[in-house]
Amino acid sequence: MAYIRHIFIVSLVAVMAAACSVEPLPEPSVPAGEGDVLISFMPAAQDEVVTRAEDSDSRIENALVFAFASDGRCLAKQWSNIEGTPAQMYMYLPSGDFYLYAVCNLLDPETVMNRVESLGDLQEEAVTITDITGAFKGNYIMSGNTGIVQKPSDRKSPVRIPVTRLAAQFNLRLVFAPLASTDQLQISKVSVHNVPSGSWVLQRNSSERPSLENVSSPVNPDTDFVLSHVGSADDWTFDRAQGNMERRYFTQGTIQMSGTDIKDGLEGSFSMFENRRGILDTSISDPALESDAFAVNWPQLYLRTEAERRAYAQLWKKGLADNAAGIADSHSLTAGIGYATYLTIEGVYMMGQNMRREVTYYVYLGNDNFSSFDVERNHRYNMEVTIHTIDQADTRVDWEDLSTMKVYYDEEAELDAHCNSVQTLLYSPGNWEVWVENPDDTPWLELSLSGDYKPMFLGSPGTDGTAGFRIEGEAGMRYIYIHTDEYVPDLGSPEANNSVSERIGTVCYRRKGSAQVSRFTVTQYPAQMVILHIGYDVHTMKEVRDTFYIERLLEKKHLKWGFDTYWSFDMDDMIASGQWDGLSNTRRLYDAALVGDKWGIGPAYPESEYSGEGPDRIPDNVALRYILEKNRDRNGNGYIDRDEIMWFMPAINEMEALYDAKGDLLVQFDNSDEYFFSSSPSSADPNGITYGYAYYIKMGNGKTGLANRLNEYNVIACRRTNAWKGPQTAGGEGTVGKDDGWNEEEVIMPKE
Amino acid sequence: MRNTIFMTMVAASIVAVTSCSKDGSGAIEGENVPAPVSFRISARSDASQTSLTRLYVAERIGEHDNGEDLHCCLAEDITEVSSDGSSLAYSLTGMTAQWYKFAFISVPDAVRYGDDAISGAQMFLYDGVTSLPEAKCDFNRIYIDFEPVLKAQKADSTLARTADLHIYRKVIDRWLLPDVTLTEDVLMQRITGRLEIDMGILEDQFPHEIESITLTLNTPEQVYLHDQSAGEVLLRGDSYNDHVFRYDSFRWNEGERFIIRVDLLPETVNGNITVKYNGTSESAVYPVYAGNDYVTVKSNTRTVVHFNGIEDGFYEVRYAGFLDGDAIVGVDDDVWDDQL
Repeated sequence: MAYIRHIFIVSLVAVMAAACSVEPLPEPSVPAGEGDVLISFMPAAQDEVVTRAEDSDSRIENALVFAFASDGRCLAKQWSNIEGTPAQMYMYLPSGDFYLYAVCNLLDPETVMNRVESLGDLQEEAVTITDITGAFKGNYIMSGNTGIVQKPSDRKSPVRIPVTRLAAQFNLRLVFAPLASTDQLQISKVSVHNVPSGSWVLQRNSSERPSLENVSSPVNPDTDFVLSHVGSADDWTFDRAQGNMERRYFTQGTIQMSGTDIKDGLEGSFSMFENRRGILDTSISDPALESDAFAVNWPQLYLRTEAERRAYAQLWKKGLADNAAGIADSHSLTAGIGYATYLTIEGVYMMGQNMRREVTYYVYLGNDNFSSFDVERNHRYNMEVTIHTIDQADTRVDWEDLSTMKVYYDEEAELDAHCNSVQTLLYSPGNWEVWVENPDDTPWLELSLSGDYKPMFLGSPGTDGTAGFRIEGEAGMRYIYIHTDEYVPDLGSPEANNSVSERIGTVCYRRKGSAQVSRFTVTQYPAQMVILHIGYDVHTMKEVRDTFYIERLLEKKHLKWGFDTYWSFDMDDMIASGQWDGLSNTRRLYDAALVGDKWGIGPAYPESEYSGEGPDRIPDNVALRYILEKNRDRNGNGYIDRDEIMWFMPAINEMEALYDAKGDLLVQFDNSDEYFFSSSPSSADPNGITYGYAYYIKMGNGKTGLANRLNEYNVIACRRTNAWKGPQTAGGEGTVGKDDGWNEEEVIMPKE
Repeated sequence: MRNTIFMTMVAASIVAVTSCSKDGSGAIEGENVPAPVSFRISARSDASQTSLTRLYVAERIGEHDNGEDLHCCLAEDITEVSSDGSSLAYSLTGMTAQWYKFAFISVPDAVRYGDDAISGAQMFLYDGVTSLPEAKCDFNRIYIDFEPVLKAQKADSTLARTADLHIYRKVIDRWLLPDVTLTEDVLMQRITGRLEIDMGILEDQFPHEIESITLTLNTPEQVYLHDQSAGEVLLRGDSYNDHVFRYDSFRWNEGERFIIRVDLLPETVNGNITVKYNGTSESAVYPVYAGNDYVTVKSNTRTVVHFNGIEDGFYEVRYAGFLDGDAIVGVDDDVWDDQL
């Protein structure tokens, strides 16, 4: 939908404003004159605990405001970038009564503004996403409106528009608290299913949601259910034709969980648009009757105590969802619970000496854990999922007995061109071995028992956790790690980018002593070449021809630039000199982060305040840290040294060259319409009080600008051609001998 | 600006340089360009050595014209001797600190037979050699030609007894550290095997005196240098040829066992033994076979094939006779024992 319209120009006029208020006035007492009005936006407060100090969930970076008359005509419209807090902008408004509607943080507010001519148009506006993570792109799209307002009497009193987020946010905490302390569970994958790919901009709540039931006599727990509310027809995903509705969902996406031990808890979060698919009827008489809705839904619980019902009703949520899915009334209004959003938690469960099972836990999302399948906008759901055991009564668990060795590697998840380390769950009933098939053909693919890449140095081959082509271990369940080296092909020009295909390696595994060998493939994308050509660079006073490679996937998105209030001489110098050489910038930022500058200026992340070795001190929501981790620790000291930086954060000119290459269809990469940070810093406060700035580019249209370092944008990593791999000062020596021993074998050759 | 330090190899005497260099077009000034590859072959200092030991070093490098999986960046003959003089020693300096595959390989060299000698240096060949020098840097295509050793054994049947005709190899994958010289001693393993056919005492095995015994084998001649990091012996598929080993010097009737000894690349034995008798055109052909199974030459294994041999637990009864004039059948003195 990228048609371009001319920009609507608004003129500002000096104003006399009437008194303002938040509540809509029943009748305007004094008709307001036209003029300039201050509008301020109020993101709805979270009713849950705010977990981050800087609440990026409430950040407003741009706002599009419409003023509609009571009959829906558009009286004025304007959009503006918003800097800092409180979020506010000035808008020229006409005289008379009007309603104000605001939409914040659209990717392209101008196009929407040009499209909407009336309230009816705005009510038909929807946001759609092409990526399952698109509901949060560093900030939340919000919308809201006021009732009838008058213009305030003075220019300083703002008109407040309360806005709410289109998306819901889920913070998931997964804990394993087994009933038997000898039980073990390891997770191979956490996925979310049925995520809407779009949302209405304005909230809709008008459609009826009647009840629906499917009850037989006697009650059949495998098919019967009673819904108090069917799925909402007000969701953007709703369509009476089931085939259409299917297309409006992403069926599956993996959630990255962080944390090392599931007994301490793993955490992950994701955002999604509203998806109100139904609510089970929980009405129950006193005393409970077999015909109550509750009794139909939960026949095993209706005679129990209130406390027991509360505790156990959740066990049947999946079963009831399965019963209700696909059942439609005569108006096909349900189209229904079959599209409710749910999580699957997959892993391997070991119980006692013998029971080994591949398990899948289902968690249906909603406003409660037993009856609601409604995910509502602007809600933050903090979910703690605790797994106690596999229990036959729990309809939320599926399992299969595991009697053979299995390695859970997702073959469809292709790896990017930089070095990778993929955590992979392995289960084996007996001693096992895993190896790379024909490693001389794919020497870039290695295995290890350690997530960090540990080089096998000359002279110390048997060290624990070092990477190699073969690993082995004992019976049980553990994580192994697949490591790949970088894939930078030799290309003559960016035009050759599309001619290089992915490379594929094969990993084999089997139980020791078994003849049966299983395999999986590991696929890696090649890097793509981009050329930046500067006819004359004022700093080096030369022509610059900068050839570099870029990656393609963004494993992490929406990172802040970091160095929030930091200033140093070198970073100040980089404002002018750091425009095109991203590798040099990244090295200088590395020093600024960890070493500091001359004349007593300390590093941005000093040891006294941040724990960890080397770049591990940099918080992991900072872009520099994310980029550094794409390099490989070649000297085995556990972190990336300055000399080991090969993949770097590009400078702003390099980002512009990347935008051009994208336009010429020479490269492709994720989220290529969003905002990206560069490594070129901009001004900062030497007193360290106000936040600094950095250069960014909007990859959708190539426009560059300065953004607050706290903004959460994407970053992409680059690597220079023929990158320097470190000083040539290494050596190796030793003796070379021959093993003289012989094996003996004797056979008889018959004469006849 | 970084100073660039090029890896330079100074050749001692004979220098064969085949360079795989990449033009660093588009590189930022000051960035490193990959060092040109050189193959250094130097004259050996110790003339009594009858093997040539060479070290090949390969690396993983994507940015290379030919895009091979493993790029061979260095090949040098190991001639230095360790400080205590007991074995050879290797020493590498000026390397980038990264992952390398080190392949140590030893082949027979300067082994004389008749007027000829086996030349180790000529045993290293390259798959699909083209005229472009750049094409010779794919580590996976380097192979060793064992044919000169087979030829020498055909010419001199005692060679396997007097000289070490075997190929030894050790391939390791290791990282190097900057500013440090790491140490690891390497013990190469024998990858060829030995076939010994024990013909037994010839006069007991065959009815007539023998003019010649011919061993005909269809055997592989070439083996790749790389081993898939698992010690595998990868024979080159189209290198199988017939080889004929002829023996015609026997010590008949001296009660000596006649043992054929041939050093070969490991493979199933596909051949036969032809025995030609003196004075006639008669000959007998015996396929080299072990009852229900093939005979296989294995790496580092001495496979002894007993021709017409005897299983454990069995014994053979032969006629035990006397030579003329050596024995007399007679009667003891006519003496009676008396009983009183």
